[in-house]
Amino acid sequence: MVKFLVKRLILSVFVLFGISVLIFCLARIIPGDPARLALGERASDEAVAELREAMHLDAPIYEQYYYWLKDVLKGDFGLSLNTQRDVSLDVQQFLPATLELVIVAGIISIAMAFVFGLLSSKYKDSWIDGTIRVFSYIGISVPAFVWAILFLLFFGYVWDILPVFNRLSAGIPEPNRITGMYILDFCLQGNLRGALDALAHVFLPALALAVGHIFQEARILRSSLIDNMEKEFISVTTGYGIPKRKIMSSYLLKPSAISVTTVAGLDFANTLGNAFLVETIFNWPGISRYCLNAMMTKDLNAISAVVLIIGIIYMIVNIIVDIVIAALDPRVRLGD
Amino acid sequence: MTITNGNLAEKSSDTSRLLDIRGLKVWYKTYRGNAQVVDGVDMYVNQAEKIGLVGESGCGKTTTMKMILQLLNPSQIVVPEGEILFQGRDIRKMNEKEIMEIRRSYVSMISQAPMAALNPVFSIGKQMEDIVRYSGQFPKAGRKEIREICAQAVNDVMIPDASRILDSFPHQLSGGMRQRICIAMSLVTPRQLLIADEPGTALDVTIQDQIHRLLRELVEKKGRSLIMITHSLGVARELVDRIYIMYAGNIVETAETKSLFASPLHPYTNGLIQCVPRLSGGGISAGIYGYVPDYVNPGIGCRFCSRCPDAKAICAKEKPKLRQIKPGHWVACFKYEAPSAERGEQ
Repeated sequence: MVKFLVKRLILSVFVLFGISVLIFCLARIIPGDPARLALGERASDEAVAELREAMHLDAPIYEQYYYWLKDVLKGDFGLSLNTQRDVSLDVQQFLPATLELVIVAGIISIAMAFVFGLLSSKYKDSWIDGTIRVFSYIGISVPAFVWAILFLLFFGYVWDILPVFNRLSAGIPEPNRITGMYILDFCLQGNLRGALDALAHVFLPALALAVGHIFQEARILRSSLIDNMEKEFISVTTGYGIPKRKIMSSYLLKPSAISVTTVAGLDFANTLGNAFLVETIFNWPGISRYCLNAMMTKDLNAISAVVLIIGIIYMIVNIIVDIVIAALDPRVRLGD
Repeated sequence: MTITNGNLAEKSSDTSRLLDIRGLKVWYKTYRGNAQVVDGVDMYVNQAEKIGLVGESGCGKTTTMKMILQLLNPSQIVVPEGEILFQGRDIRKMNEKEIMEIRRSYVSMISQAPMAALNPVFSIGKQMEDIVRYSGQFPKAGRKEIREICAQAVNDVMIPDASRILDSFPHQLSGGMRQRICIAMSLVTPRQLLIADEPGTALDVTIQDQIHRLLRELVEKKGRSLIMITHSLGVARELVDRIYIMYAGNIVETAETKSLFASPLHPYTNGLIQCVPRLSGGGISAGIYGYVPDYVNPGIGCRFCSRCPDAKAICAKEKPKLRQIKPGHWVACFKYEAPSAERGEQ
């Protein structure tokens, strides 16, 4: 297990290096003089030349990369054109809201996927299975932003049962900042009312992000459960008189959970992308909105920071998925 | 030569019988209609007796055996008639709880596919310990005792270093080891009947031989009854006391092993015996011409009819019943029915 982890981490370093080169090149390819952009139209040519010197823009590209990487490793992404603050400060402010959103979405999608997957495989070909199947096709084929709009409309306005804007209700003060994720911060501070309010606010956007994934994962879980049910080892276990519940909950579920874990990992990373639209629709003050603004205004420092961070999150999720799979499957853990 | 009419099973009012299958028919539902895979099987097993069930692939051996443990998906099969008496009680009439009891404490079955019979994501120890734990036969045993029971079972199948094996996963073991583990699992708790479904089929010949020997020794030592399913008469001859020859869902001949080899009666049995390769040479045997019949439309006559070198007109029209030709030697073939058929005309 340790060997497996070390191997996995070493690989990740290479992936990160690749991402950083890509982002760096991207930022340099885009036309326009960053120094001029930073100082504005009316700055003198001397000032621009000075800044170019300071930013090492006249140095060869690999040297530029070296300086850039050195700063990035220190957590310094430079200034944001929009907010006129350090990009790293902006990220610290906006990222937790997005993380909270995608984590809640991930939890919803995995939990619901297991419920639906287990139900539809247990009652295979019955009306329950049929109903879930129909919802699956709808759930998978309709994109997240459409769900976001529908939820906003129905739960926010028509029935008005859940809040649809902002992260907290008006009367509730923000929690002291520990992680920046409100639900977690409230919980850590023992404020249950605040935690529930934050959860209510995050619920609809998270559900909109989760719908498609719930059903995709449920379908995959269903088919691998049904596949494994026919396997000889389940028949053998049944033959030894091990109770059905025990077979379902461990002998069948554990091997079946492997494929759904892989997909859940990919889906989770995918929610980060979908979050761009959903955050905009729900006016969620997360990193996506910040990044969208940056893209509109060619705020290169901000863009490269966000892209790099999304890349890192992607990688961390993948490592977690690999660890979960290794825990589930001894063939992966111990090598074939 | 004494000839007795009647059903083999009807003669068995003996209550010492551990297992008694009477007239069992099992049909699989298919899109073309019902495949009549098991077509009236009669067989019994006495206490501490070793039985061989011999026939080619697809003749219904495994289906019959899976019926004993009720392992076939009820939505895929039809059982038009038949009884499976275990210690005098019909398994088919048992409720879920009683069937679980049979599976837990009385009968175990070794799968024919050691590669597929073990769960890939659980350790050998965990799988074996669960069998012991849920058998209900060691209610007071703690974790440690259960582990010891399993280690003993692993030692019994001649695997050294039981503790390491219990901690390993199926993919870390060779085919022969896995088959031994399957045997160890089937014997880890005391059960009266062990069904071995072609153990060793997936293994190479020398290992196969070891496995068979081991199985026989363990069964004899522990006084269990054994039903050995195999497609090889050679294997059956080495291992069992009594043999049932099955062809396309019918028992066509049954006798004590010695009697069967001394005077095989059914043409199919003869064909099978000729299929056993001899080391003394003679090349590849002629085999048996033709194929197993279509189970959806098997016809009304003897199912071996189209492949039988001795087929007569009656064979296609009527199904031969098992008749006792010699004490304990029964055969279902019109070849041996000529006198009685004539008598039947009177």
